[in-house]
Amino acid sequence: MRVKRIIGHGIGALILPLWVAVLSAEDSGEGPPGERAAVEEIIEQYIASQGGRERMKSLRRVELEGRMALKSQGLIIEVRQRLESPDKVFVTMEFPGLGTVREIINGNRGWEWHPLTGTRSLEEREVKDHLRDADLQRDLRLFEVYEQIRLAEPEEIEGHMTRHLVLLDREGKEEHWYFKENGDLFQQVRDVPVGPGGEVAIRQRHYDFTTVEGFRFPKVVRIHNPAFEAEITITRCQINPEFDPAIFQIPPSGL
Amino acid sequence: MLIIKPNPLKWVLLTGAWGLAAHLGLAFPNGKETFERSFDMVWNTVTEAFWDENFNGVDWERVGDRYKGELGQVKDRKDLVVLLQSMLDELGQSHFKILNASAEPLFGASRGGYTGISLKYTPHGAYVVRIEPGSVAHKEGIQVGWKLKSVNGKSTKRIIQSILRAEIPEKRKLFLIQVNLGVRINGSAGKQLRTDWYPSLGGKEKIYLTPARDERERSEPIGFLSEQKLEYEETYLRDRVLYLRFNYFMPALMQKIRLAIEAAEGRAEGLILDLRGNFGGLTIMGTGIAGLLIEEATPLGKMTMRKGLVNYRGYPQEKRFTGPVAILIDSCTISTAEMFAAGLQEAGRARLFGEVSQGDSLPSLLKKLPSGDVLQYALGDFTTPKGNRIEKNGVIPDVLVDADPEALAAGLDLPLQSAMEWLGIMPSLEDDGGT
Repeated sequence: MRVKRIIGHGIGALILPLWVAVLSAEDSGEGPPGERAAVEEIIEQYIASQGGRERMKSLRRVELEGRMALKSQGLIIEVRQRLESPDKVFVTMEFPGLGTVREIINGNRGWEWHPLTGTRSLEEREVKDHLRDADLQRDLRLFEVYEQIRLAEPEEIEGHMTRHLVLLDREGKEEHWYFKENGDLFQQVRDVPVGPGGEVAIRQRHYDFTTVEGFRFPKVVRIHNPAFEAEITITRCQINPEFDPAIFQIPPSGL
Repeated sequence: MLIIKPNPLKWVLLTGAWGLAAHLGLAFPNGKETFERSFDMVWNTVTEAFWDENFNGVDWERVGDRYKGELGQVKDRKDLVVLLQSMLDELGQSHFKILNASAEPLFGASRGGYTGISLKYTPHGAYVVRIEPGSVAHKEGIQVGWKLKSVNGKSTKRIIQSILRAEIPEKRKLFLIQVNLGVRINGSAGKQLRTDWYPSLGGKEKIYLTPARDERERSEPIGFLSEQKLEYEETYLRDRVLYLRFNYFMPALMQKIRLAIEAAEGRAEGLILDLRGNFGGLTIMGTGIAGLLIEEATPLGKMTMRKGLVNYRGYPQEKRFTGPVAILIDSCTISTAEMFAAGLQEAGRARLFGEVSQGDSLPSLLKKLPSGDVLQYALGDFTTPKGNRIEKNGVIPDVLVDADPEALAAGLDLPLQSAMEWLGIMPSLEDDGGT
């Protein structure tokens, strides 16, 4: 922490109690006055790096196509994701030797179809995770979305000195975001829901940034968990395409 | 930020697999450097992925040092596989394997033939429990209940004893005997086999069989999980109970199983799922079949990873079977088949008949090594909804029916009969020897 570094530089014993008080405030989630400004600066830079606040406000719909490779497993999964802000998602995933999985989120309801398991309604937590993606203006409201955002020690990752934020969500779960000097989000460490009631901790790193219609995003995402690694490559991105509303309709079996 | 979410991961993790064989490349570099890189990949994968940071009390660091010291003696790929497998065996867990059929002499690779004979091993010998209609064995008059004496002059007794002497867990031996005998009795396509039998009614019989090409349906490869030879049997017993037998939980069988179970509602008074000799497959398919049998979302177990938790849960499907369900298991019921049976048993949805299952039950992934072989590694520990561990313990049936040589010689299928009696139908003569 910045506070600790100042103490480390040899400030006299007389002012120590003052700093202890500041530390306490930080621990309670308030943060020292300078910290909030530093956090805001990092987030503003992050928003600017993506194309800017005004451009992001204009983002209503996105279609992404790509593939997820589990190279060591010999598996490549084709993914197509259509998002309509704030609460609609349609995802298809083609698994070799298995078939196509479909997931639809519409409002607070979610549905999936899998060749092996058939249909089911998604559970609340799973829907919530999908809505995180569907909310295309989420990054503009991080201070609303998270209970607390703290500045943590910078870290060097793959030769880049990154600025590190700790985000505490409203359920008390921590996420760690690491930003490059230019504002790009380079690494996230968080838990992601996996099926009903499950979750795994992942570290994802972002590479090969590209720009489409003024929006900058990583084409390659590498995911790591102690038990597996995966790489997602985005091959196509469409900004604000027209979608047939029918694709977001949950079939009667999911109601 | 615009990112495809890591959503497909959940399907990979939920899927989990257990396979007998993996795709092996045709040509991979041999040599010291390749062996070292393969060794490091195996050791590092276990170091990172094993769910318990203390490796269940095994000093994995020391194990690694010890086997690394022996790496210099490795001359070829086969030596390497033996070394790596020995190191993995120190963990004392299933689903940590180096998959390479040529390096598993006890296991034996399929030789591509098919005679249509299914054998059941007991300490008293191996008995015919099923003859595929129209098969070579059927045409040659081999009967259910016969005891195998030898194949090409090699006595069953000797084969069994060589496996029994191996330093491997007892239950694993039963499985290996079963698989080994199965490989031998099916032989190579077109290559004549001399088989000697003790027929049920006494005497000895010598029968020459020319195995057909094994053209059983195969599953599609999934990543490095190779195609598997599938068996599927669907029939009605006494026209009242649906009997389904399948040997893998692989996608190619799902539609058949789904249609059969859906059609059984309103027609069948009960369902018998015969999972004896079922080697497992995709874990998620177990939840899919469960969904065809349950009225409400039903937990089937959970996988605890070092950094994560995955729940397996069946969700009721619109068309489902609501009648009573019996599941048959034996010592060769493995992995996904065990998880599925235990889950439905604990949910009170199925009654289990037969032997205690194998106890090889950990969800796993496959990873290709620089040597061209494939590492299968468990990525988490599996427990049933009530917190029981199937690994090493097996699934204990509600009605324990151990293999009885006299009954097998008489062509009787006692576990099936018990299930039929529970379902309220008396076995008929043609049901006795299977179906």
